[in-house]
Amino acid sequence: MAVVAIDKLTKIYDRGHAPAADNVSLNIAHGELMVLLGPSGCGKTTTLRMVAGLESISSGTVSIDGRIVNQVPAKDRDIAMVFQSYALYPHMSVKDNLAFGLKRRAIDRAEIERRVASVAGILGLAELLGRKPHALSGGQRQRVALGRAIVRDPKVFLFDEPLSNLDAALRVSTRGEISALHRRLGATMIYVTHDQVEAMTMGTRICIMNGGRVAQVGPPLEVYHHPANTFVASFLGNPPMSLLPAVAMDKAGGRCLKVGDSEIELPLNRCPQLQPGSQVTFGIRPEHVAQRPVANGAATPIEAEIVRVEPLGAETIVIARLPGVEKLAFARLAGDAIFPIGERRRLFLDTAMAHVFGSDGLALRPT
Amino acid sequence: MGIFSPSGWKACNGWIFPPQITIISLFQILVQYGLYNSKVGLTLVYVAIQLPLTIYILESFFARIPADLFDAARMDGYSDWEIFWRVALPIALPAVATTVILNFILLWNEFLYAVVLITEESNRTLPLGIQRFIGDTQEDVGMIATGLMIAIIPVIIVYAFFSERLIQGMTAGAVK
Repeated sequence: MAVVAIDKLTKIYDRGHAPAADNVSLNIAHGELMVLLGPSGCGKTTTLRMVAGLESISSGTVSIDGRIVNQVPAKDRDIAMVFQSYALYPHMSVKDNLAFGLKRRAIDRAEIERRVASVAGILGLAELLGRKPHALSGGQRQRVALGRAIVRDPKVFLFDEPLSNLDAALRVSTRGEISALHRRLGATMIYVTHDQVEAMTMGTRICIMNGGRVAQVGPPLEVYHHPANTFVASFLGNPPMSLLPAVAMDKAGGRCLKVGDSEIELPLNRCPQLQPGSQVTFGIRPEHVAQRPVANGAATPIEAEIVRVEPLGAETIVIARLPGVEKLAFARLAGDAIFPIGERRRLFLDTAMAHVFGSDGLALRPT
Repeated sequence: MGIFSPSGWKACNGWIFPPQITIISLFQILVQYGLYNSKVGLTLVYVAIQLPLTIYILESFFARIPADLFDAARMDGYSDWEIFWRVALPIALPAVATTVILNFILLWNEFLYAVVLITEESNRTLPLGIQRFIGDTQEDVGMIATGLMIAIIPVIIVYAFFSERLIQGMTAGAVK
């Protein structure tokens, strides 16, 4: 069992400056793969390094299995970490890299050999044990870095953007390998990334961070479909959710949002607490916009001027501007959709899937 | 490390001023401490004049070792001292070899400080010994050539032994 509890964790590098991590609280259950996701400088790596014991803690606590480890040195926390740069010892062979941590722990030589051989077998490194890191490809180095963590059989695995140095194809396959490894080992893992695809595909839960604070924690699809605020809504998804300023209005038979010069009718349950005249943000994901009306789906018409079209083959991303609105809106349409730039076209919104955010940026929850 | 960083600037101080400027003060210091005309005194002077360049080369090399390596070793359970011996130093061997060769070649052939600070026959260094074959009115070219041949043998041996490391040290960082 390895349960990691982070309670009000704060890191201040310079007095007078904003904290790098600000009151971060998070519980990571045994066997969970928690992804810390956010833009550069949001405090995710700082948080991870404090859990690892590589960074001092300004305030708050880190507990592993109920024991507070704030003052416990990194080597005694029974944690292994995979670094963004792989951090392989360049003067040692793959075998020595794998065994380096075990040698320090005075483990029997035969046991070290057995463990190294076992991990090399799992990760397909058996043929490479005699090579030095400079003679390995990027993917092989990444597997050695993974092996170095696995071979120690730690309570908790930490990953600090381990795939960001790999090319796109290798990233996809290594992502699968780490997921498979997580299922196989059933270990507790904390994974830091700025890549939302990694977060969505690998995480048991995602913790989205912004400005040193936790913006939202939850399973990937829940966070995607029910963003807690405009930051989460715009950060997750590519293209991002269209977020347009709007004013609430009452209209016979339901609620209505005035977005620029357009009026968008909303099902009452999407925003029950909305008061007429209040300034809000209307959000809709690109996949909830259609070219033609869909029964029980995208059926609310809206006029928009086509600003840019990005044909991707399987789909076409259309970037449009609603009349009277400065911000752009995104639509993900069929690959064969043809839209002349500059033309005004009618699109259809699935308002049952729309989001409304209050003036403070927080989501107004549907009932 | 830039030339205007603190250690870069200190290293430059050692090169900018011609060695003749320091000779008189060094002579006085060695006399004061009873080290004039001794191998120990000359060795201390050699260490002092070569230290800035040595620190300049070594510091810039050590500073380039990624911090992640030290963090990884710390996670693996090693103390700071063990990390220095088992991780940092082996990685920095090319730089160490570079400084060994540079210092050896420069000091093995050093003449100016030796001729001023050593007068005792028995304490003379090799370049001073070769100088003896040059007289006021004539010089023994054969012996000078022989002396030079003998003098460069250790340099060639050291270079042959460390050259591969030297080249690695000189080109380290040129490619990823």
